[in-house]
Amino acid sequence: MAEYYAKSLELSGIPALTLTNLKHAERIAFDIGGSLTKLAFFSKISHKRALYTINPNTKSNCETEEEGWRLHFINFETKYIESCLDFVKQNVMGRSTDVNGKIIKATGGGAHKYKQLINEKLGVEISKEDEIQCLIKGCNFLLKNIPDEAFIYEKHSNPPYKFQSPSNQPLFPYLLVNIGSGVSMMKVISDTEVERIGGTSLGGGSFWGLGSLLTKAKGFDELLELAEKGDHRLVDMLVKDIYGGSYDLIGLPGDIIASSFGKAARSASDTSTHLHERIKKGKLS
Amino acid sequence: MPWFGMDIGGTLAKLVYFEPTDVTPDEEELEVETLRTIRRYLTSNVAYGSDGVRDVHLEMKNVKLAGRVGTLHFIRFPTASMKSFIELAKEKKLATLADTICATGGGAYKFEEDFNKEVELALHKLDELQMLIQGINFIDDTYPSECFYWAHPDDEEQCKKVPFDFSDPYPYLVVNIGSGVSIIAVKSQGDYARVSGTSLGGGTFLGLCCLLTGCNTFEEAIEMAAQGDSKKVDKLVKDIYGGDYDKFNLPGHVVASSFGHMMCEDHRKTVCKEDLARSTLVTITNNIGSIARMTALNHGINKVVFVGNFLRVNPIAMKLLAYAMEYWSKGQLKALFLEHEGHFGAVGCLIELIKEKR
Repeated sequence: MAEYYAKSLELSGIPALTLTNLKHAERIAFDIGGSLTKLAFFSKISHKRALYTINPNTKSNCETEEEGWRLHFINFETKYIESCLDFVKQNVMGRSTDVNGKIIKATGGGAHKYKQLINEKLGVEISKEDEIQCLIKGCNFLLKNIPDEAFIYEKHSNPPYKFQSPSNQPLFPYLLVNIGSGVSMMKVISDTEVERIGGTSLGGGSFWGLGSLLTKAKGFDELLELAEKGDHRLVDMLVKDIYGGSYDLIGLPGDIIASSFGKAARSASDTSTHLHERIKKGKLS
Repeated sequence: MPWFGMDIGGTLAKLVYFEPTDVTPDEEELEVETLRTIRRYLTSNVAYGSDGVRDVHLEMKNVKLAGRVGTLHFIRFPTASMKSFIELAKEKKLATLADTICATGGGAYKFEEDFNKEVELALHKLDELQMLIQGINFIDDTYPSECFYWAHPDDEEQCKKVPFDFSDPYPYLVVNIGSGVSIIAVKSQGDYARVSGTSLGGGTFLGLCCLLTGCNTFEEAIEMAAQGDSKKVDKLVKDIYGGDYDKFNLPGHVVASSFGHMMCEDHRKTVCKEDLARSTLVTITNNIGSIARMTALNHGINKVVFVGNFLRVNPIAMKLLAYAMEYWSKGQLKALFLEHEGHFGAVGCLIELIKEKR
C-alpha cells in the first residue's frame, strides 16, 4: 500500500520523500496559500547525543539517548492539496476517521476555499485560524527562540549575511513584509496586535507568472537559476542610458534602474539565446 | 527666432515650436530664408521622417510670448531616432539662426556632444523637474480646460471628462509617467521636490508588451489591451480565498497577485495576447496609483496630477487611476489630468528661452 501511495504521489507531482516524515507527525498545521501550501509539523524524534565530558566518578556512557520534538517544514504547490490530504488520511489518521489525538490546524486563503475538501478527506471540521495572527505568532516564536533565525544582508560585506540572535532589545513594533503570491505589509505592535498598512499585487506570483511566460523555465527554482545567470542591464533602462551618466541634481547614480524592461521594446526581435536569462534578472529586480 | 523647447526623455523626445503669426508683410520680406524653410517644414507637415509626429489636436493658437503672438506646436519622435533629428537640424542649418537650444531630460546631457559637433549648437541644459513644473504653470494659465478629472470612471455609460479649476493649486502632487516615474510634491510657487518614484513606468508597459505579445508600438499595445481581459491572467483575492478577505476589507475582485495564474500551464493555454497586454497595463497602472496614493498620504496632499506620455491615447489607464485613487482613499484624493500629457518639459524650456531673451 505504501509503495502504491508513494507512486501515486510522484505521479501527482509531490516527490514521495517530501511527505515521508509526516507519518510520525503529532501536530500538523497547514498554511494554504495562493500558489504554495506550507506544512509545519512536530514529530517525536529519538536521537543519540554524544557526551564530550565524562564524569570519571559515575563511569557513565559516552553517549545518551534523548527524545525531543523536531519541527519540520515542507511545501508544495497548492494544486496538489488533494494528494496531500489523501496521504495524511492514510498515514497519519489511521483507518478511523476521528482525529485520534492528532492536532490539525489550517490557515491561509485556501483553508477557507478548501474547507469542504478537508472535511471530506479527513473527516474533521478544521476551523480556519486567522492568517495574520498565525503569521505573527509564528514569526514572534521563531524570532524569540531560534538563534540565527533573523539575518541582515550587506552586499559589500564579507560574509554578506549577518545573523541576529534573539536579544533583550524590544521586538515591537516592527514592519513585516510578507511576500507570497502577493504582498502584505503589516505593522506588528505586540504578540497579538497587527495592522495591515499596505500591500502590492506585484509579488512572488508575478515573478513566477511572468517568468513562465517569458522563458522556458519549468518551475520556480529553475527561474531563480536563470535569473542568477542573467544581466538585467541589457533589458532595463538605467539612468545612465537616459542621461549618459548620473542624474546629479537629485542624486540618482547612473546604474540605478530608471525604467524596468525599458530596453525590451527595442530588443524584442533579438533572438539571442541569452535573452531569457537577461529577462529573468530584469524581473527579479 | 526660431523659438524651441526640447525635452529628450528615455523613450520619446518632445519638441515645442512657437510659430509667430503676427508677422507683418515687411518682416516677412526680411525673413531669413533658413528660418522660413524651418517654419514651413514644421507647420505644413504632421509627420516628419518615418516616426516624427505633430500632435495637431494639442496646438495652441494666439499664444502671447515676449511681445509676440503665435501658435504653439507640439512635436514628438522616438529618442532612438535622435541621429536622424540631428542630421535634419544640420541640413536645415539651424546653427545659423540660433547658437543655443534650451533642452531638458536626460538626453540633453547624453546628446550634448553630438549637438555641439554635428549641428554646432550648444544645448542649454535645464533640470527636467524644474521645467516640468514651469511648463505646467504656463499651459494651465494659457489653455482653457487644460486640467480635468474623470467623473464616474468605473461606469462605461456615465464616464466623462469634467474641467477642473486649477487656479489655486497648492499643494499638489505631480506624477510624471514617462519611461519611468517621478513623483514631485509642489508646496507653493518655487517650492517643490521629488519625493518618490518607480522604475515601473511607461517603458515597462511597452517593453513587457512587446516581449509578451510581439507588438512593436505603443499604439498597438494599447489597442490590444483595450480588447483583453486581465482577470484571466491575474490571481484575484477570491481565487485565493473563495470570496472576500474580510479581515482586511479586501473584496474578492481585487488583484492579489498580478500575472498570478501564469505559472500554471492550463491557464496559459486559455489566455490570448490581448489578455496579457491588458494585464500588463492594469498592473503598471495600479502600481503607480498605489505609490501615488501612499505618497499623497505621507505628504498630506489631496490633489494628484498625472502627466506623461504613458497617458497619451490611454483612457483605460486614466480611468483606472481615477477610480483607484478615489476608491482606496474613500474619496479623499482627487486624480487630475492635463490635456498636454507629456509636453510640459519642452514647454518649460521654451519659457526659459523667453526669460533669457529679456
